Amino acid sequence: MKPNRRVRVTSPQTRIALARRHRPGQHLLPMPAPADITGARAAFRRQRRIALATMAGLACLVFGTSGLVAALPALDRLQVAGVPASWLVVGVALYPLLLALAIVHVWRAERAEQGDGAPPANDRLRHG
Amino acid sequence: MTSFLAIGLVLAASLVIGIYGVRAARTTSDFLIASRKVAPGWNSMAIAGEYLSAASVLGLAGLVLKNGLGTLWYAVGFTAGYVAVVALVAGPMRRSGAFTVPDFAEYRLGSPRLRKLSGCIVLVIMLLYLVPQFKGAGLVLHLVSGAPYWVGVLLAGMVVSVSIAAGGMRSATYVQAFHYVVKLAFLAVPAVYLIVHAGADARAQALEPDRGAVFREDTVVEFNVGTRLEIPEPTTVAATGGESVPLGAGVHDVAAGEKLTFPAGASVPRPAGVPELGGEEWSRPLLDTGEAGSPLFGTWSTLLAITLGAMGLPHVLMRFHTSPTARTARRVAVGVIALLGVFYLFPAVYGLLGRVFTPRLALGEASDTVTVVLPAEVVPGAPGTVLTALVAAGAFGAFLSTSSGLLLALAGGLSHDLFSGSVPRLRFAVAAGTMVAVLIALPAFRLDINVLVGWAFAVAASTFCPLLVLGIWWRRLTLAGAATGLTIGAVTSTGAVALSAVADLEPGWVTILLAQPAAWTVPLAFATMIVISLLGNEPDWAEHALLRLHAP
Amino acid sequence: MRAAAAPDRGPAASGGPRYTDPVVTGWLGRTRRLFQDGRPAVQADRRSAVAVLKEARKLDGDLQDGLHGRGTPSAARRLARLLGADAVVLAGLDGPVAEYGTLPPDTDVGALLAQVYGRGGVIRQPPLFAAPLFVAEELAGCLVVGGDIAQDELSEVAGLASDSLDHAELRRSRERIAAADLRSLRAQISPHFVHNALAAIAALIHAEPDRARELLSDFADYLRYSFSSAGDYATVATELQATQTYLELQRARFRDRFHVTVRIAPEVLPVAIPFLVVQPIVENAVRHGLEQKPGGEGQISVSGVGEGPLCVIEIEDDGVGMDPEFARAVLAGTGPPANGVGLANVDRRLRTVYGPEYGLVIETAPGNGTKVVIRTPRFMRGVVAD
Repeated sequence: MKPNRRVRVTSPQTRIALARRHRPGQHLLPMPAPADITGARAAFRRQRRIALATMAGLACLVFGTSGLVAALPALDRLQVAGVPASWLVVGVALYPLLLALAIVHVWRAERAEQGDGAPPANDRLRHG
Repeated sequence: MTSFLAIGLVLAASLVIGIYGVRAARTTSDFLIASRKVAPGWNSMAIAGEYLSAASVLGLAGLVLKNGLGTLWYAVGFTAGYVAVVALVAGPMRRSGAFTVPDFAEYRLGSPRLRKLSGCIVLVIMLLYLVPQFKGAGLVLHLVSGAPYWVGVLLAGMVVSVSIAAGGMRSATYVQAFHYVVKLAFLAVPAVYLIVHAGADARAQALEPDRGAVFREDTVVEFNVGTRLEIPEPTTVAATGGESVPLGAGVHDVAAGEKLTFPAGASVPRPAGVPELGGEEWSRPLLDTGEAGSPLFGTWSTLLAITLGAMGLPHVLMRFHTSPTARTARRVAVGVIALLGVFYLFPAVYGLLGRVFTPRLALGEASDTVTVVLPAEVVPGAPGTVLTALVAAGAFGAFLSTSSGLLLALAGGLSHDLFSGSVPRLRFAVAAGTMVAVLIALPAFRLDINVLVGWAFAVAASTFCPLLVLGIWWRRLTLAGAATGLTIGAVTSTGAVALSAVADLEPGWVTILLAQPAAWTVPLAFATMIVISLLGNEPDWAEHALLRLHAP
Repeated sequence: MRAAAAPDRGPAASGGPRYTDPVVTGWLGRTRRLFQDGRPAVQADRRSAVAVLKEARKLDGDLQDGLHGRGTPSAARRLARLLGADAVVLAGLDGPVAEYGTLPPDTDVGALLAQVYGRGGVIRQPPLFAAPLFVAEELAGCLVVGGDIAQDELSEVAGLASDSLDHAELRRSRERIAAADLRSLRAQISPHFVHNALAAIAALIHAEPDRARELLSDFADYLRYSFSSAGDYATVATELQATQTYLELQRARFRDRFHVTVRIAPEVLPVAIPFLVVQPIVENAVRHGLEQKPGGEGQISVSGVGEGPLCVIEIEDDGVGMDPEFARAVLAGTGPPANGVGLANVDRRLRTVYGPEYGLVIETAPGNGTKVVIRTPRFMRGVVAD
């Protein structure tokens, strides 16, 4: 028995909408307010403080080290394990520091979130 | 031939992973496994895999060879950008549910028009980013096959669009993660091997600052463009026809197509516009863009552009959508920092060894090829061939993952944000994007990969970075402010970039401000958004949209 | 539109043309005369009629959030200009809401309102006039006018304002109905499933008590998922888990007679979609595709991939398939009510949330299985899984 060929079917609205080249302006669904607006404001301000601190740290780290390299040409001649110290700073040493900065940020941000009485992450995942 | 085999293997493996790498479950109880979230580690690797483009795999080593140690700041900026992403963007972006930057613009400011404007900017950034990828791929294929550069670029364009059309990116996470491993392994293993086999003598030379560079053996240098050379000490070279030409110390012009053979032991001449190879300026880890004589400014401007630009790169932000929660999104970004840090230890190895073994590459327009050319020079014979194949395959993997990701983002943007076609003509948009990128990449041979990528970062930093940072952290941002700021940021940064690509300017402050526009375009865009926003009032729901981004 | 009442611009002098604005008392009066006399309209009169209609529509806009919305002061000003009155007060049942112009100094608005609300009709105390406003035949507020105006002018304008408020009320109910519709559509699915699931468990209780207990606990999880959630959206991942529970229960009924394959790209797992859009389609595949397949084994495959900005979920079975005309009728809402409830329901909800172009696409033929394709944008403003 030769099987019948499948036919593509949609609702009439979808058929017309798909055939039309341009779709009309999308309707915007309403933006619901958070349940606890004072709590949400406090959480926002806490997170903003932490983010600002991390960004300040980042600026100090990258601009500071480059400034240091520029200010101290002696670093080029100082050898550490056969490699000029300034090369080591730029090529190797900065990466662990950047990683540490990010880890500290995540630690602080998550602690601030936990402080809001939110359920721990595992619990939330289980409940979807 | 070996290289083609390696490239083919990477390509085939990517296709197989891309098509069959989706989690398949055969029994109902496997539903649970299939629906369990992807582990954060995979996600970090996928992000790093997509992010490490030809600029990192080929460009960085080439830049170190040509412009000196200061270019390592590019790598620092690429990584530092992720610290900014962790701190400012990753979590809130995930909470907004936005998949692309235009999505976020619509979420936060509720305007389909702003969405279109952002879509246009996505296009500009993606093209600026795609062109160097195609240049890199064309270069690799040109090197391993000997075919002309344009054949390589065309071939690369065909490979990537066919692989996307064949469904090679249906499971993008695993493909990109696989590519991270390919890039790291195929760059790290040869690097370590080269360090070991270069010999103590060469190692010491590579690590010694301020010692200049000499040709180790009689070296043929092919100039494919006219070049002005500064010869440090009198040398006798063999010209194209084989006749001996004595060159006195000083400036000489070499015509395009000329082949000069430098004798062993001769000092490497210095092309105009770049620091003397291995010289004092080359050895200082600072970036003196445009020869303006202000290395610290050049360094800071580059750092600013790249760190802030990473935050605004559309294809980077898209990947956080895959994380199940905002918390994981942040952790994923931290993982990326670690993975990038490991990877960026290696490009410098190629640059430093390149000064000793292949100084000729710094003379022509071929410094981007150092990663691929170096292994065969250091280790002659079969091991060298294998190493070259590995590096070429790694570089091709870099091209493949980044350009597929970019093309999909570009095509998605085209079909969704700009043309509002009822059925997204994704495949068509991919082909169109590839074609445009290939067409621009053909004449872009002379431009350094990293310069082009740097421009993409500068545009992202002057447009999406302020939009995201203010949108996420400032309640009073208004539609008018965002739209004006985006427009001004986009116009000034692309204008500056286009001008410095087209015009031939004298070294000086104007050049550096045009070549490194981020230092003034980013503050300008921020200021515009803030001032115009303060003049108006934000709608009632703006605060709700903002607070949702930070709700634990 | 936000406009505060500006008392200093209020008409202080009486008599004479007080405004250069086209919409003043005279215009309203002339328009009325035009209709009373039945004479052919001269062009100026037609223009003034259009101007009055335009003002009426703008009044509708001002009052679109009801009497307590932000447009009420603007509405008061517009009414004052329409009537050529010295002052206009719009009041709710609890007292004045917006005031334009200045009432005579010794006016006791509160007492006037009490009188109007007591009588439910127009009060005339020159120079003050007050008319009640009705929304859905019910007293909702009051229009107080100070100045020299005719009785019929006042009642016409009060009627206009009442109609605008009525429109606002209707508009709000339309939104409420759409939301309630979505919720009731969601609830429609559950009874089928609950019945089938309980029947399947009941059949196992004696033969395999352990498995029955396991299924019952699965079922409890499922119920929590479908009933207790506050929002209207879930992630693809949680939706798939609900589907899994359903299939587990069905397998128990069918003695493992069908096979299931799932292929989901991890990128789409966190995408937010409306609740219960995959499960009803899988249910449809089992009930109408496999259950009616004579004897043989069946196969269902579910796949989810990201396609640019879209998330595409496909559910395919190799069952008996459908007559395409029947499928078309089901999706158009003209099919027999008992069959394909799930498909029509999911289709309608997808279109309500995402717009008409995101409706279901069904590919089917009699005897050749069915494939149902769900396409949703990965991001849609307001679609957030809680």
